[in-house]
Amino acid sequence: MAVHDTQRQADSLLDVEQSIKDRFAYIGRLLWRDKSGVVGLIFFLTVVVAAVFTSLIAPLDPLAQDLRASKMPPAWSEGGNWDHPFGTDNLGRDIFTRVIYGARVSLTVGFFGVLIAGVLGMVIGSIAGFIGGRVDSTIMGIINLILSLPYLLFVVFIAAILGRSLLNVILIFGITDSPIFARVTRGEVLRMRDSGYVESAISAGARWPRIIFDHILPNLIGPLITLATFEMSAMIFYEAGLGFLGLSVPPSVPSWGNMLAAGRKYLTSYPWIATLPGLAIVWTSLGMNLLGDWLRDVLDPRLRRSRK
Amino acid sequence: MNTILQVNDLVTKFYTVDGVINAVNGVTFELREGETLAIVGESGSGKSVTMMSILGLIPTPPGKVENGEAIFTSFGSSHDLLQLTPAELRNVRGGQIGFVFQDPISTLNPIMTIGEQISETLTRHLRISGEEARERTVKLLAQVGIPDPELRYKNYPFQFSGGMRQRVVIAIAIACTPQIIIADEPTTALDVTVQAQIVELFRNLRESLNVAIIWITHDLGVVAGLADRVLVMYGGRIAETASVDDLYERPQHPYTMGLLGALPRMDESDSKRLVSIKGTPPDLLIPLRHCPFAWRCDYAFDRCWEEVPPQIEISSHHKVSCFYDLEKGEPRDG
Amino acid sequence: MADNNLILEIRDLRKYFPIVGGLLGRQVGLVRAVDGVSFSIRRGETLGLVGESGCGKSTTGRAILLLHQPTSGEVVFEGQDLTLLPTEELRKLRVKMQMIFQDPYASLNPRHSVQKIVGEPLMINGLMKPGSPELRARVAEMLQLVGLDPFYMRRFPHEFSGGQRQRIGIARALSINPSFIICDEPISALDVSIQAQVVNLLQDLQDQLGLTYLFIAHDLSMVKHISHRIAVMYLGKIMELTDRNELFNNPLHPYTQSLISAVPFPDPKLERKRRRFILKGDPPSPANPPRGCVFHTRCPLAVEECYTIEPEFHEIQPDHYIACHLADEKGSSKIPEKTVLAAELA
Repeated sequence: MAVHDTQRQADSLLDVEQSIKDRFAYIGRLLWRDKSGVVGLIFFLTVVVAAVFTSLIAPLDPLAQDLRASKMPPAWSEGGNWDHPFGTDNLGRDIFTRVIYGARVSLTVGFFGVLIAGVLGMVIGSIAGFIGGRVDSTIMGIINLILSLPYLLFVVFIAAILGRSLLNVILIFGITDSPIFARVTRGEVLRMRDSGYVESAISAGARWPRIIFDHILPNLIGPLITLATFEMSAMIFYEAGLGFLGLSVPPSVPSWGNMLAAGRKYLTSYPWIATLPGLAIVWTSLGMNLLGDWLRDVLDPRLRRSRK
Repeated sequence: MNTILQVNDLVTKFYTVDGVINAVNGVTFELREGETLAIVGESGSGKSVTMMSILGLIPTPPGKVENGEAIFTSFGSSHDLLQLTPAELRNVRGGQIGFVFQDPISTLNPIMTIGEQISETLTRHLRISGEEARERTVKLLAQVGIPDPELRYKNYPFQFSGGMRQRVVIAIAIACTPQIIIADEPTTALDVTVQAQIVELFRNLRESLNVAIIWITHDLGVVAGLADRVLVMYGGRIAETASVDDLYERPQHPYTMGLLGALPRMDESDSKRLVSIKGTPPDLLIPLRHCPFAWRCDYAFDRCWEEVPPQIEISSHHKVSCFYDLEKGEPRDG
Repeated sequence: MADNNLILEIRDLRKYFPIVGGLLGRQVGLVRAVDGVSFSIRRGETLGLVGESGCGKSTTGRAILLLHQPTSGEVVFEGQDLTLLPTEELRKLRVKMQMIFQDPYASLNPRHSVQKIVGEPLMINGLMKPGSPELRARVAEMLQLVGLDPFYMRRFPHEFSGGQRQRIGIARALSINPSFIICDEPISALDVSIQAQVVNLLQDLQDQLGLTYLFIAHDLSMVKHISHRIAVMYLGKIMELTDRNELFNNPLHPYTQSLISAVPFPDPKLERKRRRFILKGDPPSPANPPRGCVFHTRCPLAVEECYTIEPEFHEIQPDHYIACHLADEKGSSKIPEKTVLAAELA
């Protein structure tokens, strides 16, 4: 009995510790083992910091033109100085400031785009998965149709109707990306519907709302967060692409895509104007993809450690 | 009888994010010509990892064979399997040592006909012509009890039932007349009536091929009707090894005794309460400092918590790793 | 007909699953998972339901609980046909019938604590309020009953071993005082040494609480150990049903005989002496069952009528039911030489 009590005391300490500190320690260890996850997290955090504390990091006005100081090279190359660390563009605007402001645009598009796509997709996918039968096959038919449309044409079309604004870009991404979320949600719902714990809840007398909100939705969060990371990275990437084509936010807004488009003409003579925002895009999407890979491993409860 | 496989002090570990899994902690045993040796243990006992280590099939990383040797003697020459190059090992595997796994699906290539797969093994290891390989393949299929072997030669794995697939895997395993067949839970995924067929097939093959068999299983029932000798593993160590009659009649390790008591006896009309072993299987993350079974053992005393029990020879064919003498009901001397 | 002693009666239960194919999801076939099963269970007994994979034993269990809506047939539980009840009433009655699942890893929600898992049936049915001291006390009582320390109720399923998880599943099933429990292969995912723990626990609980079990498994020796009567299933139908000792001492169906013969005994001397009766081939697919007797394709004794006429499931001796043309009324089978195996052990 004495042994038993000591064991319990030790466990009770563990219980408290383990629920908070140890869980973090464990996530830290997982992160440390998967070094690419660390890199991804750092990359992503720099972008988030840039987007949140924009005016603190870059005190200059991103729209302020100074034609006397146009096309200045970055600070580390000849002729540059630390007033404009990344140099200036053809209108003499500070590129560093604009790249930082661009992060705000990109993250806004990515975050809200994914939010809309995720909520929409989750609702549609859940309906298809739960109701099944004809409803399911109709929804899936529509989804497959949308996914088979030439994406760019679709976007050009909608942009032409709605016009160019940040809100429209977010809406377009949110709607066109929702089928992906719907498909994943449906697959997970179908899998969970047949899972032991849902059967067990039904035989305990549970009604559908309880099964959905207590058993299925919480278990959907892991896979959907992972998907959201990848999709957000893709949206940031596409937004830049659209910006480059002149289909995203108005040219006056300092977004990475717009900066790329503006710098294209000077690519041979003043390469930094397009390259530096380009690197920002690479930085962000690489970071988010690495992070997504790591989240996929961490959020799966089946891969979690079991404790004796 | 000559020893054809001598495994000495094998240690295999897995380096994972949770820590070091001590999967095999010093395993020593021998296999004699033509005998059937059963390795019995529960999940995590190290029975499969032992065999995978010997065959060089441990995924590295995270796994690593840290110590030991596995001396394989065939046609008068001996080599340590653990020292062979991957290419040499591939020649031994499927050549002198055939193997059968639990899941035939993962062993067979889904996009090749089963005839081609067997012929390929033959041409690769025996360097014979395609025509000769084909003839031999048909004979092999007949030998493992596949009806219409000429026709079935052209079939793909998905056209076979689970039991028939396992027969194909066995045909591949015996194709190059091996000295040893290693069978890892070969009947676990099969239904009882099909399991009986496969066990019967192994009984016949043993007679006709005079091959040594290592049969890895968790099922003490199948072992009783098949094995000559049994090796019981627990926590990555050998708990007990004995001839099959001895092991079932007078088990010397409390774990073996518990396992036998946990099996219901169908041939007795009054059901006795099953003997259950308390607790749960060992946590392999904890390095072995004492008897791995001490946690669950009703007979454990101070010494069991202080050192790892070595193999103690009770008779020429019975060894046990336990400090407690079950027959006398007291700790062993020395 | 109203026998108070019967807790459950199944009459001609069928469950067919459609096979859909093609672009439009048209039905192209039927899997006859359960094809006309009838049996009854007496209060306080354990009925074993044994058979190979795909024979429909698990589907039978799920059809009884109406987790799968039966295609046809009656499920009479405590005098009421469940298939005719409206949803709300079924929900209330279902509380008296609970299930213990095969896979202790999949049947517990990984995001719920043990406390929530065990207490959920009580909360769902409005018997106790979430977070109330009564609920905690009840969960603690249940955990103690199944041999777990209530101290660990705040932990999550992945922190427990397979055997412990199965105990949690049992505690959950018992929390709302059911009278009938379907055990669907409750031990086949567990290690041998843990199987015995769980089987002993189930037997103790039956003694303590007067439970009735339907014990579904493929392991004949374990079924024999725990059951009072045993039904042998093959391809969606029951082949033989009788008292467990009668089944082993006097198996009348060739399939039962082959099953018994296929089960190895943990005794080398006995194993060497046994004559074996090994079936050929594998079970046919339930999507395309043979005509006549479903067992005729593997039966070594099949005669002409077995190929065309389906044998009726009938009572051949008191409490001994069989579906075979070869067994006659006296109960001695027409099976030529006694291939019977239990007798040889004497």
